[in-house]
Amino acid sequence: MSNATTIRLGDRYGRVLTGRAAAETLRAELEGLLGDGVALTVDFAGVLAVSPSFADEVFAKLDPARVADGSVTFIGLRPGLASIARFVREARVEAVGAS
Amino acid sequence: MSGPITIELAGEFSLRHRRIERLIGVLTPLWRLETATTVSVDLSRLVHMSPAALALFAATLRRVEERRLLASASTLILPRARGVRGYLERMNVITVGGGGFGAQLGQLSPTGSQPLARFRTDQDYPAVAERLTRFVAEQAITDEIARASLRIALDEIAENVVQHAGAPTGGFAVAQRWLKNHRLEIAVADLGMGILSSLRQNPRLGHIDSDVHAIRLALQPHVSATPQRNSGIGLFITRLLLEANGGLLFVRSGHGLAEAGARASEATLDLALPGTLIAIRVCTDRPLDIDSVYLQLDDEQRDDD
Repeated sequence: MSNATTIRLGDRYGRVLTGRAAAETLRAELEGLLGDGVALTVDFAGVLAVSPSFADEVFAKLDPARVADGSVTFIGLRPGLASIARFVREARVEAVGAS
Repeated sequence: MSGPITIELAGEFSLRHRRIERLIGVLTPLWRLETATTVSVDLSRLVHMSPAALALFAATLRRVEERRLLASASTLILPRARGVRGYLERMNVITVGGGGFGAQLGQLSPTGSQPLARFRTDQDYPAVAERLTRFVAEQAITDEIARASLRIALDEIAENVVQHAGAPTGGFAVAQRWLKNHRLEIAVADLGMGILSSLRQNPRLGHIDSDVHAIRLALQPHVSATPQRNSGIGLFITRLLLEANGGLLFVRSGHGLAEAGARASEATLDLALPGTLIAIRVCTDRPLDIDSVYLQLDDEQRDDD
């Protein structure tokens, strides 16, 4: 990896992250950076809550292989956020398996 | 042009089955209009309209106006009771919903808070959700996670309208709080395709055979008309949130009705609502905590394994 960057979602969006459209834009940005070989840390410090739609875009639709290989790391997640992250990720995995 | 019709909204229209059904019955002639008609909407004996009723009423007025179904002689008879007129003014109903009633508009002017709002796109519903949450939570909800939870619930309901309803007039959201009773109500109405038609767009859901079946599924996780784009968990999470709070989630679409929370029920009803009405009632003196709901998902997944 040529470089690394941290994206602080609390600073960018505030304490409550909602809206699929906003999350789609964020995911496109993350995917672009990953495609450029940037190692990403997505920092949820200061984020109080995330909507299901936002969680789905960021945690579930982002290529799981990039999470598995450490290209993107999520930090600063409250227990509830970690829980919805797992929930949406596993749902997408199941859906892909069923199709 | 069809013969003149009179629509009378008299008495109370609250979030109770019979009163919502009565409202649907009263509004049905407006939904059936196909040509320009002289319409008299008589609110003179109106006593009260809850957010759910207001949202549906506003959506209806806006639809007939935008389809140019109101002949020029159409009239709006304002409520006789000054308190009721004042309430409609504070709720911004006539300006958002009733653009087609000419001179009557001048008699009810909007005040600053604008609790009734319209939205149509991915760009405008978040701001509507934020504004309504801020308005209704003021003085009623001081806890930050509760406000966040409310915002998320409203956001998910509104997003469903934009993503799935196919409603040309968009969605109408209303919020109201009752500080003494520790209660608030938020409603979102659209006159789109309804939940059944929406879900049937997913080939894997083509077996759904009724409106109430569709609503029941919509309140479960991972049910979506567009599973590639949408996760189908927004309404499910909202349901869990309201159940934990002891509040109410009310969903009316087509002939179907389902409620969850303090009053759990399902029914297939005679009258069809051509679209969807979703209302939530929150107990503001009880926890409203999306964090706890998310943590509960881990327990549910463990139980499933």
